[in-house]
Amino acid sequence: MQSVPTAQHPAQHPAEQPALQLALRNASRSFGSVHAVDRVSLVCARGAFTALVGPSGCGKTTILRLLAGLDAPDGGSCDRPTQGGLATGFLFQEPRLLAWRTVRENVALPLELAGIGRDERLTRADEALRLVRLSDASSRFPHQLSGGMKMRASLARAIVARPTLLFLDEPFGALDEVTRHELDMELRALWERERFTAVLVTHSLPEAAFLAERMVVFSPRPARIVADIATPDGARDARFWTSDALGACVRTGSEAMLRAIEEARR
Amino acid sequence: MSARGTDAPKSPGARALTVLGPVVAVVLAVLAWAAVRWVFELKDFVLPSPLGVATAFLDDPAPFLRGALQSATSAMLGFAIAAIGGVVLGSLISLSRVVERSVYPLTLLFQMVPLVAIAPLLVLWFGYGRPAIVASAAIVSIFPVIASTVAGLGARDPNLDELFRVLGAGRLATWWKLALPSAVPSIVTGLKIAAGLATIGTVCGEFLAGEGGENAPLGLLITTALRNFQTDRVFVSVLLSAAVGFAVFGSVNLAGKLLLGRWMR
Repeated sequence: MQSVPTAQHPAQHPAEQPALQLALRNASRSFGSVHAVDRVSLVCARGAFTALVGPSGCGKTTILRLLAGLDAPDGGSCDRPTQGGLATGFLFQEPRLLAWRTVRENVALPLELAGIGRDERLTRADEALRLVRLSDASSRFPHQLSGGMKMRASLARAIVARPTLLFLDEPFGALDEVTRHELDMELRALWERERFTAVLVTHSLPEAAFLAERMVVFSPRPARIVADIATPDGARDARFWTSDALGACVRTGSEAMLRAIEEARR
Repeated sequence: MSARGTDAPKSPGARALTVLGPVVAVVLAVLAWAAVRWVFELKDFVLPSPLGVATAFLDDPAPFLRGALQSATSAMLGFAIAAIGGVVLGSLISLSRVVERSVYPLTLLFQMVPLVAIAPLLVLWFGYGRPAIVASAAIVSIFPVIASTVAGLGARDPNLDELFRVLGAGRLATWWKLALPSAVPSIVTGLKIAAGLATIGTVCGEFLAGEGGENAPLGLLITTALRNFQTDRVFVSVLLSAAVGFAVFGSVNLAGKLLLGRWMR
């Protein structure tokens, strides 16, 4: 795909090979008369955890879908790493488990669809279930799981093929606060170990600051970048949720977001 | 499975009622039957007495039971053809919008053409005997399977469709691993309707295409007994046809329940 260089947001890693880069260049997307995304340029560095934050309905999910190749921009362009298939993992808002399969069979689905043999895919499913600490429930059916366990199963399925690229669309939004924090910590630990490229959409600034290395804050629709915040380096633990460092990121982000909301009202 | 309402524990009184209720109803129906006969002073060949029907069966049950076995076998074969053919046809119809719009109305013919009108044709094509009877059962029962397959395949969760798309699943894999399993509850409903219809189609087929002799099926026993004014024997055969219908429906229902164990919880 031909990329259009832009003045205000030059590529962050000019040396990086284009085929490995995940980037929007001046991308726009409209649905009928609704402008969801208006000339957004964004480069997600390889191996980085980027969070897209914004008020609900601002178009951040559309941006994720453009980056993931589930949708194409009307204007501008999108660069995506050329490898597809098992190299890309998805975690959706809903668990999206198949009701007639056990947890283990659900987790093995991506490998099954890629034609990997039964023994190998079940072994790898067990391994993924161990990583998300759901081994005990591997032979249960989705309806026998709590909401948090369903999301764990969904996370296991997203990482079962050890993807180099993971897209997360408000994955834990429907869970209670405690379960959500717990899953956030496990997801962060998983990323610290595997260092895949992750793009997360969330409307929670604390969650974005906890999980990601970088928070990109968007204005109300049409989505426009109003802040690009680097979060502290290093490992996270439960105390990080209440740390000043996280608080500072959240404050910067919410100030930028509120300013944008006020501007949009005027 | 304890979460399901039907499996909730019942009080002894309620349990006694579920067993006794049908028994009482049957006893009342038989009494009403005897009363009608007595009040209108009906002759045996018009309406035999309950006792007379029981005697006709118990005097020589072997031909009736052999006939019932014949009919049950034909009904199961016809049902099996309708079940497999219906799911295959329904799946083919669902392959594309264009095919669905153009071919689906055509399958309504199975539903609309009166069986008695095509039964003579079946005899012409298949001759007397089982093939024509099984064909009759299959034709009568295939449409509910087609319709429930088409409905079930069309009603799957679009979110799961998207999941399969991002996982790079092909059309065949999406059909086999997502669409068809999603349609199973709907298909099972269609199969239950088909199971009831298959017995009707069998007996109707036997009226025209049944072969006499040692192993004459129930439909032929009915027509033969009618010709000989043996109305008690007609009643025995009709009641046994109903029993065959119950047996076919019951086994399909049970198989469906076992299959749905993974789905309906």
